[in-house]
Amino acid sequence: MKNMKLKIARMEKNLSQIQLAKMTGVTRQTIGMIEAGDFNPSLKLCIAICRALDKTLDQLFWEEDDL
Amino acid sequence: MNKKFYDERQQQDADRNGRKAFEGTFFVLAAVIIAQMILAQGDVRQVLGETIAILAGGGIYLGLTVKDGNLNRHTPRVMENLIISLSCGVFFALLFIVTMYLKTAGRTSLQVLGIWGAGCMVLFFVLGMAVLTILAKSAERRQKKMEEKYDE
Repeated sequence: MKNMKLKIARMEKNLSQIQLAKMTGVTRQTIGMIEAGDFNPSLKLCIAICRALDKTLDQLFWEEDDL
Repeated sequence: MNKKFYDERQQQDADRNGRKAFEGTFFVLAAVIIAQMILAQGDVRQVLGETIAILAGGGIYLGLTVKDGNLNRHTPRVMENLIISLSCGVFFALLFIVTMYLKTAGRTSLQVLGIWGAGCMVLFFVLGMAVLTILAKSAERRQKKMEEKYDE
């Protein structure tokens, strides 16, 4: 399932995938794959992404039942 | 987050590829040893390198699996070990009979082949059961240690 919340949060911060990748210590492809729902990041990486985007885990990674 | 050579996704991919490469190498080596021993009528010395490589690789893999406490996904069952050991015994006994028959160019009588085959099957069955039981016990002990270490 695509993670649109992450993509939107990144765009709100005017960050490119490369910039977010550098901030979190991963590659651009990894960020792309997380946004596309093709890779499940570890909790450690989720927290790093949340910190970089000033969001909480709930805001970026919690999936509602009706989604 | 520390900058490493691989990020976690790449590391997972590398680990998966490494595991597949090991499995491929392991089974190709096993096939090469069997083919050389049976088809090419080879001597044990001719497949010594492959045998050492497969034993070393398998041993390290098993050792690490036991050390991590991941050998038994569930409680070890005697019946499961019996079936695996019996299958190994039958497989290697058949292999032994075919090899012996071909090596002696059919001069060995079926009775002798049968006796040797039965002996081979019992040997591998006992060996298999012993190895599986020891590994299961070691893994169980390791799991217990981990439970004690991480107990609340």
